[in-house]
Amino acid sequence: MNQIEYACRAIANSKRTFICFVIQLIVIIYLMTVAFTDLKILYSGIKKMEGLKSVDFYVATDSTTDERISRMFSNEDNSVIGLKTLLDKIYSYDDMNGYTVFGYDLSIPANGGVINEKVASKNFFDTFHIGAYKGRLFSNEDFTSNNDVIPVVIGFNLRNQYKIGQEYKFSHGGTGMQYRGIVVGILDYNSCYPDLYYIGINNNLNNSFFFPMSDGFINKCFSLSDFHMAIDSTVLITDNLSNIKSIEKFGNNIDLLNISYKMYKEFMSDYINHVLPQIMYEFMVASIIFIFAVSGMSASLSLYIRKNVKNYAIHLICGARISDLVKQLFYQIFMAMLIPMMFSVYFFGFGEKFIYSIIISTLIIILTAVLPVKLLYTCKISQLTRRDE
Amino acid sequence: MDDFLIEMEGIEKYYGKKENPIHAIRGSNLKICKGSMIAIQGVSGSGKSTLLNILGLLDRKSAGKYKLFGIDVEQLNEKKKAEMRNSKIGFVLQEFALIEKLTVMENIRIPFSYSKKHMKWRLQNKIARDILVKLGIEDKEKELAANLSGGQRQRVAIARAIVNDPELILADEPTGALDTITSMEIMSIFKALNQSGKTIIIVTHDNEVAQFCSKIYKMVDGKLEVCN
Repeated sequence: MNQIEYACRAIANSKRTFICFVIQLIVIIYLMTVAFTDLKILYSGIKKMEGLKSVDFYVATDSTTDERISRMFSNEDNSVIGLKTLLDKIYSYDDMNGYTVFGYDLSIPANGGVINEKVASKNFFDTFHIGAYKGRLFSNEDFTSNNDVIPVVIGFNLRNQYKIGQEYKFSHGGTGMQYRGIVVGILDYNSCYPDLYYIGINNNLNNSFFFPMSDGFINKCFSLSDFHMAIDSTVLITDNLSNIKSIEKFGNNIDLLNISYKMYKEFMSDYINHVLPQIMYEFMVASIIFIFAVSGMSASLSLYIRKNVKNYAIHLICGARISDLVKQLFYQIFMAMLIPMMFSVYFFGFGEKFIYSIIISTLIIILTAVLPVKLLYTCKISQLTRRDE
Repeated sequence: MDDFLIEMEGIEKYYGKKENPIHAIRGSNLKICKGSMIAIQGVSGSGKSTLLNILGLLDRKSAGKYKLFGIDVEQLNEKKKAEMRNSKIGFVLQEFALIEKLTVMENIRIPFSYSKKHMKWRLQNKIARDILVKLGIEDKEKELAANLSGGQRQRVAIARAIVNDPELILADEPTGALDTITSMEIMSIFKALNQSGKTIIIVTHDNEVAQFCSKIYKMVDGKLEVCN
């Protein structure tokens, strides 16, 4: 038998302890990976957004009460008119840029994800330098058109289902309204844009298709909810604060939504202050479990060594060295790691999170083994073979 | 010229601080020729097991010279000592006999795991089975060690000790936990091994066991004395 076989035999003789190990490891690895990933997303998102801090981005903060929303829906037709005028007002300023993008996840599976229907305003693709792999993106005419057939730009992964120049029947994700769209272009592979409201999240567009927020589309398909989402998701780029104030005042006057605008750097700061404690809490919980679990596992292994000291002595007198016994110990710990790693693959796939799982697992292996290995090395062989007199 | 397997001169072993040491072995000399079978007797705590541990490279001497197979043990690092314990020395111990949860065959094959010869699995099995036949326990091959009688366990321990064909066998109270008849059977096995050319050193407090040996030493207050 080699050390791997002895390790397997040792595990078979301590099944209960082994199962406890494995469960603890699954929990630790999952929690630590999630916490670490969340922190990394936030950190890298903050770094990416650093550039935007100096630009005058304004994002909407919606504090409309549920009561108000119910009131809007009970008088839907008038509310739609009111919100449409607000949206028109937002886009009426010549010295102000901005974009609107919002959408629906459709229950159509595609390529391991779902298809996402998105509505975008004129400046969206330019703002994030999104290009076309084939065909074209939306033109100015697309946003003023009232045609029955609406131009569509599709994500890269949908290029086999939807062909350029072909018309297709679509159903709006919000209202279910049927309309006809013609595919005019395919986006570049892995086109994406940062989600300004969830720092660090990049919205990948491979499984998305876009409609222009044109008069035609608005008239045909927009419901009250669509107007609400459009206004909430509009980002304004201006150095003229009076435009912002004017829009807020207009919004208050029509007495529908309670919308105010915040400079993005202020929004970022609020977001970080809100999200960071949550992530630090995740980390704290994961760390506490980590410390307890590693200490527990280390103590269990040390106890196992003390209980099996006579068996180790037999190996030593048969020609083993302490390093052989250490090898056996590491094989046991490594085998205990295999099942949590399989769970990692199941939860996270073979991506970046899986790499974090491996790093965390390696750390656990090293920390768990320190005490037992020290115990093995400080045992003198002669003490191990001493008879009870 | 005598062919000495073991040459010990002025061997000392003490514990504790140098200023106030506790002596386990004092100034002991020992020379053992190849093919000898010797007994070391003494009361409990006289240092015989400590001497056996030093002989078997399980413990370090505090002072003196020790040559094993013509090599000064001071020149041996831990790796070389482990190799010697694997290929040249076989241990038979009273209490650290077998790993209970392994079968007889698995216990006997433990030394193969650490052997430098890297024998094929089939050859290892053949060697182990031949030894089991010689010791009369071939029917116990697949039995768990925990299910064996005292005499059977000691036979398995002997089988494990000789599986790599060592030149030297060290036995610490090999019959300590056995009845008289079984003890005699075990000693007959040792005698047969000695007649095949192996050097055997037995630590025992049993006079009848010591009588099987050609030379008897006695440990008295940590010092080795010749009895016959």
